[in-house]
Amino acid sequence: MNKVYVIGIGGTGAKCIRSAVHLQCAGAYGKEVRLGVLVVDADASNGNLQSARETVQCALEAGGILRETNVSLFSGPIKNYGYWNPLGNYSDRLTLSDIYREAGMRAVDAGLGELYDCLVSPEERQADLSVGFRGRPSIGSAVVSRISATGFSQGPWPDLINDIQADCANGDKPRIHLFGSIFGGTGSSGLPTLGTLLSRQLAGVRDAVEITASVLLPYFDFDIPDDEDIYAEAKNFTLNTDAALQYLARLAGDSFNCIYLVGDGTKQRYDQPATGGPRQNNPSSCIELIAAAAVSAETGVGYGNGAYLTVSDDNVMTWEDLPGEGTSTSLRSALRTCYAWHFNLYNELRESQRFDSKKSFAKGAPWFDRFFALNDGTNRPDVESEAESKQIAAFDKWSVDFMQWFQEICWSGSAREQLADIRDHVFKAYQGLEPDASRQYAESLEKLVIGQTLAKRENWRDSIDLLKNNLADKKHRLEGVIGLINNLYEII
Amino acid sequence: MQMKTRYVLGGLAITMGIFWIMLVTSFLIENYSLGLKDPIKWSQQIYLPSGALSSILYLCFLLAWIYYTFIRKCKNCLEAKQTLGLWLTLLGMAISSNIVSLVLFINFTTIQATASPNFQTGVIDIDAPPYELLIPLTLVNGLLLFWLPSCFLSQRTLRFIPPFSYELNTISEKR
Repeated sequence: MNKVYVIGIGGTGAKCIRSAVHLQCAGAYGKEVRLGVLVVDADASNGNLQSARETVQCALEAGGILRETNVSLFSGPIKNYGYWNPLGNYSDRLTLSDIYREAGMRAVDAGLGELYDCLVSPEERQADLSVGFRGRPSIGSAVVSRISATGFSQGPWPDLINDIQADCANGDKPRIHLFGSIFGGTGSSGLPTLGTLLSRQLAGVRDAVEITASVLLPYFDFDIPDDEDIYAEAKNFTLNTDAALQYLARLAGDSFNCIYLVGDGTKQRYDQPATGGPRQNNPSSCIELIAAAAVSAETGVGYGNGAYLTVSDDNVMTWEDLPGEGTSTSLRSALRTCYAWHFNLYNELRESQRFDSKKSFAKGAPWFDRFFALNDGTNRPDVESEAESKQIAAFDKWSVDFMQWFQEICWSGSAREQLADIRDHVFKAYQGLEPDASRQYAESLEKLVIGQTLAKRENWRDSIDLLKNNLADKKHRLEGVIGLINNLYEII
Repeated sequence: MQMKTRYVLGGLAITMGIFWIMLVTSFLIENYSLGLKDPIKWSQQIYLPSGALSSILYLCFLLAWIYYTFIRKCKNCLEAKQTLGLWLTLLGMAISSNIVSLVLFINFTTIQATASPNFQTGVIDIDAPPYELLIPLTLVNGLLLFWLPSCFLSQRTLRFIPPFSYELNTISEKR
């Protein structure tokens, strides 16, 4: 099993983690990949970070009870290393002046104090860092680099480093993949710094470890936030990028086996921007999806060898534009499976739970008895059992998150919808045990995937009814909810 | 293979139905006293043409149902189960058409037979078995030429909609 450790740094890094986790659940990284996940951000309340952590949690819950051998959905395990806050040790002192003990520093060395004055503006010194580094890499670098003093001995780092070293000892070739923007604050300061420090920390096994990174160049734009004096400014993005790329090339480049730069000529505009905190919860973007797809790219091969990757149409993203061998196929199948689940199978299963006679239900749903027991004592899973109910709820929760994420991607950076036509749908989680009345039954998948045309003899795949019929025609190795969703995924 | 078994059984059911209408019932009419004056001629000149027409009508209704089940896409179980109403309607129409056909043939077919004294008296005598015997026969026809084949030949989501089709299919195919 391949071991991949993804580390998302900052808000954009967290958003890439969200994409990476969804790709892993959808089987895009392959069946034999174990994904370790760590998010790094100084802003614990950041909306992007919270969304990513919720996604990881959904995926863990669903994967924990839906994982099976030799299936596509949730086949690869996910290990959550949690969250690391570079300000962790300074949580009671949240300005740069506090962290560097400005008063003491000036008292000990007046020259050092003057240098500090040169490098850090008065506003930056007093800015509250609990909402992140405010798009200022200089602040971020000053904070993140202090991790070297702890030698990765705090938070989730010892666990992560131990696992990587254990993988190497077992003869595996683990990969550490970092995500982060290079134009903001946390990512541009944290990504090169952490990459370099990890490379040094793993010096003993460095040859057996691949360290790669998806570095996101400016791909969004926003107006000046109205909430703070010190804020991330889009006008600084180019300057920040230039400086960070120079740093990467000259000082940190050797620490990485491969760095993937991802950007977009047309910047997505975020409305209602926020410098940090819960309000900074920007919609997911296809750029993050491309960055996440780089995890499966072989370093030094094809687009992993510094090749330019460009989209076939300037205005929209197409399925062919997604890098990676199985990315498009897996995502399409996962999308169609989740759609069929959300607008059909979920309510069907909930409806079946309400039927006293399961045989009576199976008469109108011939697929049902291929996966679930009727009232006849067969050894198939009982749809009303607690285990199956949990699986239904867990998959539904993940699929809602997946669809919300994909809906955001479909709208990102484009004047018109791309990849999938799901603009008019509302995807929201449902807690009840009965059918969700807000979900209207759908039957056709024909117009769901933009640009996908099936051969005439394959047209049946566009009908949920015919897909269910296909499932009804034969027995399946896997039964229950796991069998239902995985077999649907395989034929969809 | 499993699907083929269903089709074979469906074909057998149709054959059995036709065999029942055209041969078995004919045999019963000709060999057992049903109150007919000339059972052989009645069977050959009234029952068999009527039976042939009824069989064709049954098959038409059956094909209509099979075609419907083939093209009908149901969003959910409840929608599928609602089609039982259509199936019952078709069964009712098939049996009614059988009865109507029989009534028409009985009333509007003149049996070519030796002269009956009744002709001389001007009385038109309709030679027919009592309807309380004929109507149950049409019900059997309906079961054999519509219900049973539809149990095996219904398609896709509606494959188990005809009553007892699930039970019958699970005899031939372990699910």
